[in-house]
Amino acid sequence: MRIVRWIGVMLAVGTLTVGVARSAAPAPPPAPPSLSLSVVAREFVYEPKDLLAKAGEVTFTVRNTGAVEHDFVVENAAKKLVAEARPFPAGKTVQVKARLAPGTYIVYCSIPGHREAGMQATLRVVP
Amino acid sequence: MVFAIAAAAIVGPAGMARSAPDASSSAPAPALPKNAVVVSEFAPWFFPQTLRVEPGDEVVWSFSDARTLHTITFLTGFDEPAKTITIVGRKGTARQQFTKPGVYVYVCAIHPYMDGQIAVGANPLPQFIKAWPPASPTNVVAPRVRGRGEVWVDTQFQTRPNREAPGTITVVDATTMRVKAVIDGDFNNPHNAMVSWDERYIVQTNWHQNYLTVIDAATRRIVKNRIPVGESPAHTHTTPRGKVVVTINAANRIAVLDLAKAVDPAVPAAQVPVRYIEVPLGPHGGWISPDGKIMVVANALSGQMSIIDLDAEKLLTTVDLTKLTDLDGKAFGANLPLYAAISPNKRYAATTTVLLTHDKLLQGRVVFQDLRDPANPKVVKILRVGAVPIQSPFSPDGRYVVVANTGTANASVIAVDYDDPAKIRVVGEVAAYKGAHGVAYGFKQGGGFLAYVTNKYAPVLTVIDLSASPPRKAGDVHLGPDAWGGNGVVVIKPRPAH
Repeated sequence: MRIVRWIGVMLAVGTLTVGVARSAAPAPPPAPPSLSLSVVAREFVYEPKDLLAKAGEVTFTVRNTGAVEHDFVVENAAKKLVAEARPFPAGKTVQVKARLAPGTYIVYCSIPGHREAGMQATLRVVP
Repeated sequence: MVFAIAAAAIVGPAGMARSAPDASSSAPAPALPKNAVVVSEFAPWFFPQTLRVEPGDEVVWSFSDARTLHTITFLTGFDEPAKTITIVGRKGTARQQFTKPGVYVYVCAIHPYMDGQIAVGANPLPQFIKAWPPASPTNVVAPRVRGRGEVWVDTQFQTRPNREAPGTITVVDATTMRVKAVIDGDFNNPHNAMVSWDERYIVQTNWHQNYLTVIDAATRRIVKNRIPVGESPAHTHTTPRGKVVVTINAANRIAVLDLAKAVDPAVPAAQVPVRYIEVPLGPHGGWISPDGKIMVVANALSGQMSIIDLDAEKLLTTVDLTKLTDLDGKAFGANLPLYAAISPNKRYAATTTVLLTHDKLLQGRVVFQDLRDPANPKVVKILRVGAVPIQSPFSPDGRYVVVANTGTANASVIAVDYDDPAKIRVVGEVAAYKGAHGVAYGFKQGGGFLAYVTNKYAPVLTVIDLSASPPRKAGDVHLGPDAWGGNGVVVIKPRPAH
């Protein structure tokens, strides 16, 4: 049975610019598994690209720092939808909750073309 | 609500009727919904190109006929410069309500010749949007000079029967200045090509799709096609060691693959390994140093340029062009950098950008940076050139940068000074045609170099004699009556060293 709950738009953070200037920096160490994950969505990535969660009711806080709207879809290994946030505009933050069993999941933006452009991440859920 | 347009007939550049993808259906074509625009990979790309609506109306763009991602980016009408309301791919839609009377000119910021306008209320339309198909030029004078080798021109808008997308490659014999072959293949808007270091292969991008085509430079036959690399691959280069780099214009990355795998008949196209270097959004035109170690690239959708270490396959640094101080002392602000080149001695980068602020809309700039410490480039000169400058490679001897100006239908010739960057200056402007776009250099018979300039809206290749002082136009090569869309250009056999 699919468990989908999405709470919707929580916070506006104002006007944003596409592609902030940055120099190459070492990747931060992976966060320990958690029931609460913060994710940044922008053209065309989710950050971090590799998510690690503890099994149970997981809350994703997804902040759109891009220039256009994005959504947030979580699929399990059988390609079944287990959580989603519908398209939310640039500058907004949404929360998504899902009860997740241990396993590997794919996170992607389902707006046409965005996944193909690279907007995809992996989610590993551990006991 | 699903927005579907089943079979809207659209007229292409050669006046040839064609259909949206669902046209195989025998059902009668429904009328276009009110205030709808269909986005297509054929000229004029947005159909209808001009739409009149009333204040309060909503306009819907349908990407049902698209094959890659496009943006809807408004250049006029809104207070915000370069306001992007969507970046979306096939089957996507975009909506915008227009409350204030005015003329809203918009483009796809990934493929900026895609332009349209929404006239809200009874406003006069600006002479901003090109008519399509354009008038064929009548003043073509063949060049008297002769070059060496072949000039391969991406005639990106040329249509051919039974193709899902436009685009051919027109090959000019530089020794006669006449067309010697037209390569027709499974292309989709072939935008730029580059020759491998050993001159055996041409690597061709398909800008309105996601794949590369590799062509045998001697036989002109396709070696391998539909090598997927990412959405809207724009420019490509090959290093001396056989590493192919490709800018992925509708994403934020550079694709890297090995030429040996790309041409290996045992490796299916879909299984050619590709790795990526992350850069700011929208990498378009770029160049590599002759040793293949450094790449510079213009990131069109983010107003930035980046420098990449190709050995480590890592981003070295990014320069935010929006913050540069312009000639009038103001910041650049919103801009669309389309091309970055690197000098043969690795000293300078030359980046062209289009200013998008309302007060300088479409003005062109070339930014020269000193690359002696490539991780910390220093801006040493900013020049104004024609409107909408595109390609700006350095000549093989490093003396000149020829800039193709799409908006002013000409090419700016910049003399480069390596001792005193303050002396870098525009020394001439050469008449070209509407949509001047690509630049490449070849050897001139008798010594020196020729610059070849392509033109999107004229089936003509413009030739500039760089051995003259100052450089001057040598003439034009007519590419054929329907050879529209001159974009990328590369000279081979021999290709000048850089």
